[in-house]
Amino acid sequence: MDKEKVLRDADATFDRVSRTTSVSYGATHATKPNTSPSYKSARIRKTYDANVQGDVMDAKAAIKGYVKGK
Amino acid sequence: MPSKKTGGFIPNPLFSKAVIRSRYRDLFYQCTSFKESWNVSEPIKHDFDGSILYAITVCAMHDIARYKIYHLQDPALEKLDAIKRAAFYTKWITRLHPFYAVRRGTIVKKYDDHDKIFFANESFALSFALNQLRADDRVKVNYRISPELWAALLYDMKYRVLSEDAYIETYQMIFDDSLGQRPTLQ
Repeated sequence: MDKEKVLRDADATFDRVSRTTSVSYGATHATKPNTSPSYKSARIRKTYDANVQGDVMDAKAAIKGYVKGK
Repeated sequence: MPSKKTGGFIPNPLFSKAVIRSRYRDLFYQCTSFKESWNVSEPIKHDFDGSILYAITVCAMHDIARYKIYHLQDPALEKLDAIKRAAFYTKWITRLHPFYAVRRGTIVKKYDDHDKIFFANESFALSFALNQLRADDRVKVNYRISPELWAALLYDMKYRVLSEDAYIETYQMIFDDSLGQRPTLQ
């Protein structure tokens, strides 16, 4: 197998396909904006993590309060 | 929809078009290599579609980018391990099926239930994944899984519903086995 020829074919196909294909089949996440926290920047991810931790703390406080109330 | 600036290319949040092109070249080369060996050993010839390979590369790289952004401290610098890469590529190869049978006139072969030709895409996905795992320095270059495990995995890829998480766990266990360790889960 001629590796150089195969790679030239690969480059030509990539150029042709990337100009014309929008990858609409299967990859719905690739064509629509993803608004999930996992898709945002690292800074937002950290904020998200902090919020999740905050939720956990709130839950703990709520449980504590519930137990105290009992 | 394709953007006007980049044509049909959909920008990836982490990887440039040049990086995706290099991944596409790797995948294309491995597909060609697989096709040549497959067509020597199997009675019905197969070929692959370059545009589907493109979709596989783009989708897998989007998955990889999303995983890195969410799980790594520095997504731009840290690399994903071979297990995750193998899992994401397996997911998209088994969904989009780049290989197809080339029909030449009349069918000269009868099919049977255990025919390998039904599993061309799954065979390629698994061999590609094992090549990814072997790219890790700790794994022996000639590491192979047992024929029984190979057949079971092909069957599961074809007839079961496996997510990328299931592939990550499976490849993690294969990776541990290749190092001579007890299998662990992520």
